[in-house]
Amino acid sequence: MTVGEPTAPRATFLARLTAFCALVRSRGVSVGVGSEADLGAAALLIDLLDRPTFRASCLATLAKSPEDRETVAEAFDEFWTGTGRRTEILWTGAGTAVVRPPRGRPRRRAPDPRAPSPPDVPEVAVPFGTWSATAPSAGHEIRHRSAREVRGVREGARRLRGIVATLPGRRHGRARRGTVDLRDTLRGGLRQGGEWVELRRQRPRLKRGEFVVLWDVSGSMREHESECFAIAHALAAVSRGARVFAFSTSLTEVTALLRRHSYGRAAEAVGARIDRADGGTRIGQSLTELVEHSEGIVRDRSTVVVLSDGWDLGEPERAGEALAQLERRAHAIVWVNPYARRTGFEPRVGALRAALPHIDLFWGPEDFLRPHPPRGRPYATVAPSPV
Amino acid sequence: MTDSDSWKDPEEVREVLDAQAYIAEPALATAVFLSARLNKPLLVEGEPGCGKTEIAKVLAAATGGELIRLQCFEGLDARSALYDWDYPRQLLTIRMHEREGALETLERQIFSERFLLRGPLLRALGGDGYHRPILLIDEVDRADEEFEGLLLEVLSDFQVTIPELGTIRARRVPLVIITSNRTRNLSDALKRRCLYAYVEYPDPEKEVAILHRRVPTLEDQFAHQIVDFVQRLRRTPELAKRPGVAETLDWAAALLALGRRALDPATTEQTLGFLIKDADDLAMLRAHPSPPVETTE
Repeated sequence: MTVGEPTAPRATFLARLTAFCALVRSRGVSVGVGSEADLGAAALLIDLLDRPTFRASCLATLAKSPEDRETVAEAFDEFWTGTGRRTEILWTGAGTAVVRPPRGRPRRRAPDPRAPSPPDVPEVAVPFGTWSATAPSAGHEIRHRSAREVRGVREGARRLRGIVATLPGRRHGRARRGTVDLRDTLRGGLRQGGEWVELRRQRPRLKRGEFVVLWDVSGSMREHESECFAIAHALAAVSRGARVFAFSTSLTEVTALLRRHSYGRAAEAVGARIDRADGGTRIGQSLTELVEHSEGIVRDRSTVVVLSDGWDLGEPERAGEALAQLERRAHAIVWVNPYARRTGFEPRVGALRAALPHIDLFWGPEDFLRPHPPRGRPYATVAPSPV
Repeated sequence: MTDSDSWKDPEEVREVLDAQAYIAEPALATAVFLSARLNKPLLVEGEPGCGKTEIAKVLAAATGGELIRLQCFEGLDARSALYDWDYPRQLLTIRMHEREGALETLERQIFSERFLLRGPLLRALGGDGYHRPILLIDEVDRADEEFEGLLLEVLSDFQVTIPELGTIRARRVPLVIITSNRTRNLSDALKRRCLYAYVEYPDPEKEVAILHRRVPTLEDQFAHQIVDFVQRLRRTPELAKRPGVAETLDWAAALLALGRRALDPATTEQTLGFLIKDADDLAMLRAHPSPPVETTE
């Protein structure tokens, strides 16, 4: 393509540019006014008729991650060239995704009478995270999720990081705001000849969240594989020292696969790597394996996150013992159970009951999407007798 | 030498980088062009060993600007990155002048630029005012999140405020390249201030071209063999750490040093450590050598 002199954008073009940014935003990419202005400024510098350069400029100014790049590229093809995907998948946060025809104004190009008519795409709600005979999970392929959905779970992971950083019963540090630290105030007063010059305050010292994720990939967790992967990926993304292990009858570390790739490619790579036993889980054995090799993995600032339904073929006491050891080493233990927020749920399975006394937070996957997720230990009073 | 302010279009950037033996994708060239012309930092993410850091080095060589590198690490703070006072010299000066008693003059003297130890960020704002400095903030994801807050003022206004001296503004806005290996997510505030580019593994043709540019003595057929093998390795999903372009270049140089002119299974196995840097991956490949080696003997 011949590159000519840069063409100054007209007002109508700038309006289209704004509409394009709105489309990108509607796809879940956070495009600020600054980025929009950058794109406008870039449009003054490039030849707008040079489509690849214009596309690359949109990617450079609007996208901030590989996932964003895919979304912006799709939106570009759809908006500026009329090609690209035909449907839109929107995360509703209520266990379903809405599949819609593309938004925006219809194209004005006259239809080609010889071309087959485009398929009519109705707006349908489909459940996510549920197994079906047609789902590709049989080949260890983890179903992809929309950028908005991935972003939502990642926000939840950040919230979890903030919550575990301030769990009660941990160390406090001096702060401008917070509860009055009487001891420190008195100590300060002694230095001033007994006068209380200032009220010294304290608040829980922030611990940098460092997650160690244990993801149950056994047969009973198959229908939740996609949402658990999204959570594991999000936890690895928001915490620098995160380690992620998949387990069924033994542990497999998948941290590097999650870190090095974009969401889609990570799903493929992890799906190919994990050894999923359809026969069952040995939670206690896997946790013991982690405890035995936990030097350098589980540290005092680590938060162990277990993604499991608790179904265990091994001895439940073993899981309890391993978690008790982890409790002593780690900062906190969080259990994410896919059934936790289902109506009538009770922790009945043996491994889960054995684990309950050692758990600091008990969440369901839905809690990652809530702006105010629950805190505390809801089943602290349940006796650890296996059922 | 070329001045980045005079670049007319992304194609010129590609040519400038190409002259330095760096073969850039059009998207990357566009991002570099816009970064230079809009005075915005460029955040480059991507696979390890694919030339993120090299961009800054090549730009410095092409433009004649000084390459100022800030290597990030856990615990990096303002003193290391921005400035610090030369306390031993200050103390020595105080001791030398303490009998004279002119405290006010002394205070002004010891808090002058003569006693200032400039960190990489402050040095990037200085320069000779003629050549545009290239500031490389390497592996920013290794630094703490608090450090990103420090970068915000520098990267948005290109100025630093020192209480004793006032605000120091850039003589010439540096070309800023920030690299990240995505070991953690960067803050939205930092991302908003940057343009973004993602460097992926090159396709086979491009990788062969890179090999020819960087290892000129390599024969074409041998280069294709090497690239074919590396590309097959990258397509192996079980690998935890896939080889980058840097590994390909190292491997090619090693094979030449061993006097090889074609790939053979024995040499490949002996030198696999140049490509695979993970013990589990090595063990897995040795147990199941799935990427076959086509011998030409």
